[in-house]
Amino acid sequence: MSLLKEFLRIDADRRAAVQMLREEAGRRRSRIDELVQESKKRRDEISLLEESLHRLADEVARIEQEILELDRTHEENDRETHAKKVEAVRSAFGGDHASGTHVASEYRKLRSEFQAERDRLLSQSDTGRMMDNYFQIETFLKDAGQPIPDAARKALLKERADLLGKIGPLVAPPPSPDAVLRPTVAYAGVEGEDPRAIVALGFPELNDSPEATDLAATLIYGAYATTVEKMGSAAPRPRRQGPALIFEMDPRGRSPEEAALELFLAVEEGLKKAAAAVTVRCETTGIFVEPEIAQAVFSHS
Amino acid sequence: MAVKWIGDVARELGMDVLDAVELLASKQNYPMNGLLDEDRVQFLKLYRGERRGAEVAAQLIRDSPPEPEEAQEAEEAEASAEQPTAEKKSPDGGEAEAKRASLVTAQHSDRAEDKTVIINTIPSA
Repeated sequence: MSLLKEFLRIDADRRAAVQMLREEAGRRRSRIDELVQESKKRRDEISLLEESLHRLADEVARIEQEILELDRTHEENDRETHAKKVEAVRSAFGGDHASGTHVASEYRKLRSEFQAERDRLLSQSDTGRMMDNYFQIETFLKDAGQPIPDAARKALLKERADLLGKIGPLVAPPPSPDAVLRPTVAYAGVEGEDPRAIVALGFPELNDSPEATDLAATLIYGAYATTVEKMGSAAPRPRRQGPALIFEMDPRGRSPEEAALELFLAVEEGLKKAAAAVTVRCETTGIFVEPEIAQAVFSHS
Repeated sequence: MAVKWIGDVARELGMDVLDAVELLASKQNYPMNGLLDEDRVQFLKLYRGERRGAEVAAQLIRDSPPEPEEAQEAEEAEASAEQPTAEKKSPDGGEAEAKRASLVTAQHSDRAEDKTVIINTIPSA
């Protein structure tokens, strides 16, 4: 009896264990199914991410290509800008040279004719007498201490006008062109192993043998004189390069730009003073030229 | 008063125009219209004469260099001339002293000749 009981208990335990194992196997199977689902889902996500990565890599490559293109365009633009600036400076000098030559030619014509007329008048016998009369009338009319009756004043004024018509060039200031001289004065400081301070302007050329009627020579001498007055022995002599006149100097330990500015102010002042001295209207335009442009435009002396 | 353009004056004097401009400008005496009065022309003439004189004197010195012994003696004489009188007396008596004195005199006369050369080379205006 007890053995039967024992068998029955063992059988019941076995059944219970089998049932428990079945349940566990079922749970494990469902867990496996869940994991399979999860892995499938993750694989889908990974494939989506890989696709996105591919797209991003393509985008990065395209942008890099665009950046390279932009760099090339930038370099081309820089080169083009440099060439355009160089051309603009040369063109400004060329234009100034042409217009300056025109003014200088007009100046020479007017002054030569004026001088010829003076010489003609001076060669005439009664010129001296007429000049004496003219200056006596001038002195008399300007003398405030001596009252002059209206009729006499009128007669004197008429006589003075008549004399002026005959000997005008001998008492009048010399004529000047109506045109205005408008040189562009460029300055630049070039750094590096051989630093230079440069001032340049488009300017008419001097005659082989300059005369008093040579406007370019008068202005250049004036500019150089003022430079000597301001800078002493350091003042550079002008030299010609194509249509431009160049003053170039060693900055002597100073910043090239600072030396160039000082030189520019001296040259500009000298030009204006000399132009005013010969009653020619002169309007300068000062421009600062970048060192790279200056190196391309102005060759070393 | 006659005025002349600076280019014409420089040509007459055989100078570079920019040299003339520089010279006048360095004395703050350049007229901006380039027309020089007689004083300025005279100044340039004087400068040109002095410069030529200096060039001729330099050329003369180069043409006749002093002989080494004479030059050494002259240097010695010059050095002794700078010493005080008490130290100048040498043991060999007045003979050497007289020789030194004559050397110094000779040197002075050379300088006078240089000056004479300078004056003679100033051209007449």
